[in-house]
Amino acid sequence: MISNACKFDLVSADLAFDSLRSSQKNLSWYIRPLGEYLRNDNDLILQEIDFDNSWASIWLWNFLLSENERLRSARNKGEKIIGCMKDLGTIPVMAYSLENVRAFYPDGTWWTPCVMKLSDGLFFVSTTQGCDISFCPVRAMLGAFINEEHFPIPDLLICSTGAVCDDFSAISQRLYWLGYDIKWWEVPRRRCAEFHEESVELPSGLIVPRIQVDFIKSELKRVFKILRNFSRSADSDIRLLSDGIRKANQIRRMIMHLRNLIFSSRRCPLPALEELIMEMMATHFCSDREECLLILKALTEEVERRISLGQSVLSEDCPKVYLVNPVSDIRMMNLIEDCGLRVCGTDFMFTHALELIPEDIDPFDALARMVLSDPMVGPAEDRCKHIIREALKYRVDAVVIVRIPGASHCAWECKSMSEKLKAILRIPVLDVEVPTLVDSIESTLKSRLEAISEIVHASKSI
Amino acid sequence: MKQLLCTCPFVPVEWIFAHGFICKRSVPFFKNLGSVESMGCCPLAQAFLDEIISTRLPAIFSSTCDQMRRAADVAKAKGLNVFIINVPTTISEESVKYFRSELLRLSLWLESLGGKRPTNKELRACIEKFNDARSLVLDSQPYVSGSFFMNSVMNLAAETETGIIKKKNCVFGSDQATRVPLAILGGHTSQAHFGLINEIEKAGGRIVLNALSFGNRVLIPKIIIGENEDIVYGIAKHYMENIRDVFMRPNDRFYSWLTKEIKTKKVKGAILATHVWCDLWRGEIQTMKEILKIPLLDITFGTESFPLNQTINRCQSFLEMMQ
Repeated sequence: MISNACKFDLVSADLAFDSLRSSQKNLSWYIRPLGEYLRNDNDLILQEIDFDNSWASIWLWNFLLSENERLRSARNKGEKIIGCMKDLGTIPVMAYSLENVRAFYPDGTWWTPCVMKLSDGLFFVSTTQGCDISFCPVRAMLGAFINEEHFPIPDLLICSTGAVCDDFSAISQRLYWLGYDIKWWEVPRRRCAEFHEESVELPSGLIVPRIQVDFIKSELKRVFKILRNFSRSADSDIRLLSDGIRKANQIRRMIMHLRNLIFSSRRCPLPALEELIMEMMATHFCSDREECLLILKALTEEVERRISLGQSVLSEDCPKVYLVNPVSDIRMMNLIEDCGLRVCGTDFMFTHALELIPEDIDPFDALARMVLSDPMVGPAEDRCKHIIREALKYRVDAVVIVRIPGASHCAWECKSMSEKLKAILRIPVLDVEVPTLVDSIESTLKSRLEAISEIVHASKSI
Repeated sequence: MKQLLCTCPFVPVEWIFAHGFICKRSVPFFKNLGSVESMGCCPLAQAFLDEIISTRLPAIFSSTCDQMRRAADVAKAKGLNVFIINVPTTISEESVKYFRSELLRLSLWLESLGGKRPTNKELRACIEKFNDARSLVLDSQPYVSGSFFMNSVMNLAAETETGIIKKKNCVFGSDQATRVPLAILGGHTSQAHFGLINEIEKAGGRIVLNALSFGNRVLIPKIIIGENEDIVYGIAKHYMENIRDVFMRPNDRFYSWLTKEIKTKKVKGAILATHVWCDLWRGEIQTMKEILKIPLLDITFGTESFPLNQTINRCQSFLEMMQ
C-alpha cells in the first residue's frame, strides 16, 4: 500500500503494519510491529513519538530497536562481537573488513534511558560506580556493562583515547578496573600543519601535519593486528581493508545522497527523527552492513517517490534549521517539527563517518585521515566552518545547538560556536540543553523553538 | 628570564627553562569567571583562561583533559598567544616519538617568543639543575608545611636558585609523631587546595603524600640520559614513563605508585579533593575506594577559592575518626 507521506503514532503504526507488510517480499526475521518493542523490551518512549508512515521507516525502526537481539543471534552463530568505543566510524570499517566479526558501539546505550524512560535503571547503576549526574548520559553504557541486560558483552573492546571527551574516557577507565580488557588506541588533538611541516589534506579539506596521520596509522595497524586474531580471514591486510573501505563508502555515498535529497528538496520527504536514525547507521552500519544497505535503498526509493509526487511530512513554509549535536531525548526531533521547524542540516558529532574514505591511497593512511576528520578531536572552530558550509548549502534560517547535559565538550564549544555562527550566518541561533527526558522542560523548549519559528517568519515577511 | 604560564606538570620544565623561560604555575583565585560563564566548564580551566587574558603572558596548554583542551581552543579563538601540546595518554615507542616531536614544536614556539634553542651542553645542565631541585624539594617535605611544599613544587626553578633548605620552615618537625598521616589526591591544584591543606594541618593532620598536580606525584625520578642518546627523546621518554596521573590509559601506573607510596609513608587516610566537572578524577572515586583500602574522603570544590565551612567540618570529622 502506498499512502501519502505523514507521521503517525504507535497505535496507528501497528494497525497499519499488516497492510504495509503485505507488499513486501523476503522480510527479515526481526521485523515486527513496533508495539512489540514496547511490550517486550519496555521501550516506553515509543508511545510518545510520531513515526514516519512508510514501510522503509518501519523497517529502519525495527533495524534499530532489534540491534541487541541481532548481535546475540550473531554470537549464537559463532561470530565474534567487537565493542568499538568512542571513535564513531573508523574501527567498524576495519572490523567489517574481516569475516566472522560483528562490530557495534556500546556508546549507543546512551539513548537507552531515554528509550526506556529511565525504567532501565542504568543511570542508577552508573552512579553507584561513581559516575553521577555530572557525567553525560553516556554513563548509561557503564550500567549496561554491569547489569548485562542490554547488549551482549563484547569479546573484544577497542577504545579511542587522547583527544576524546573526559566523560567517556573516565567511564572506559572504570570498565578497565571492573575487569574488561580494553585495547586503547591514541588519537592526538588535531591541529593545523605548521609552515615547516609536511602536510596532508583531509577529505574535509583540513590541512593537518603528516606526523599526526602517521602516528594514527601506526595505531590503526596495531588495532588491525588485534582484530585479525578474532577472524579467520586469510587475505592480506591491504586487500581486506581496501574491500572494507569500498563497502563502507557504498553506504556513506547512499547516506550522503539521502541527506542531500532530504535537506535540499522543496518539501520535506522524511521526518527529522528517521533522518537521524538513518545517519547514525554510518558509524557501524547498525551491526549489519548488508542489511543496512538494503534499508538505505528502501529509504532512498521512498524519499525519491515522495519528492517526485510532491509529498511532504511537514507543511511547506516551515523555516529550515540546522541541528548541532545529537539530542539526548529523541522526542526533541518530533518537538522541533511540532513547533513548525524543519531540520535541513545536521552535525551529530560524527560528520567524519559520512565522508568518503579515500580509496586510491594506502588504506591505513586513508583511515587515519578519517580519524583526524572527526569534528570532536579538533577545535570547535573547525566544526563551525563545516556547519557554516552546510548551513549555506541548505539555506537554513536558523541553527539549533543542542547541549548534552554533563558533556565536557558542550560546556566549552556550544557558546563559542553559537557566537560564531550568529556573527557569520546572521541568523537566529538557539543554544539549549536537552535532558535525557524532556518532560519537565517541554513547555520551555517549545516556547523557545516556536520563538525561532516566529522570528524567521517575521523576518521573511518584512 | 622571561615568564610564561603553564599548569601542566607533564610539560618538561627543564626544556622550557633551557629556552630561557620560567614556567609560572597558575593557581588562580576564582574571582570573576567571565571568560566562558558556562555550566559544565571546569572552574580551573576558566580561571586559567582568565589569567592569560589578564596577564597577557604567553601560555602552554596540554591535552591531558578535555576541559583544558577546549579552554585552549577558546584561548586560540580569542587570539591569545597560546601553545597546545599533545601529551599522549598511552605509552608506546610511537607515542614517545610523537611526544618528542611535540617538544621540538614547542621549541620553535619558544624561539618565536624570543627564546633560544639550547645546546646539548646547556640542556644537560638544565636537566641536572631540575634533578637537584626535585631532590631538594622532596628531602624538605618532612620539615615543611603542606602549603610550603606545594609552593616549592610549583616553583622548582626558583628553588634551584635559592636553595630550599635555607627556607625550611620547621613548624612540623616536633610533633610529627602525633599527627595523622594523610594523602591528598586530585588533579589541577587550586587555591582551595592550599586552604584545605592548612585546615587539615590545623585539625591535627599532616599531608605526607601530596598527589595533586603540584605534589609528590609530579616529582619525577632523576632524568639520566646517556652520552650518545638523543636528549630530547630521553626527556620525552622519561616524562612519559613517569606520568603518574589518572588520565593515562590504562592508568595502572598511577595506582601502582600511589599504593606503594601509601604503604611506605604509612598513610592512614586519603582525601580526594577535586573540582566540579572534573570527570577524569571524579570517575576514579570507586576505583580508589577499591584499590587504596584506607578511608577515603571525597570532597568536591565548586568555584570557591577557600574551602567552605562544611568542607572543613568534614575534614575535621574525618581526622577525628582516625585520631
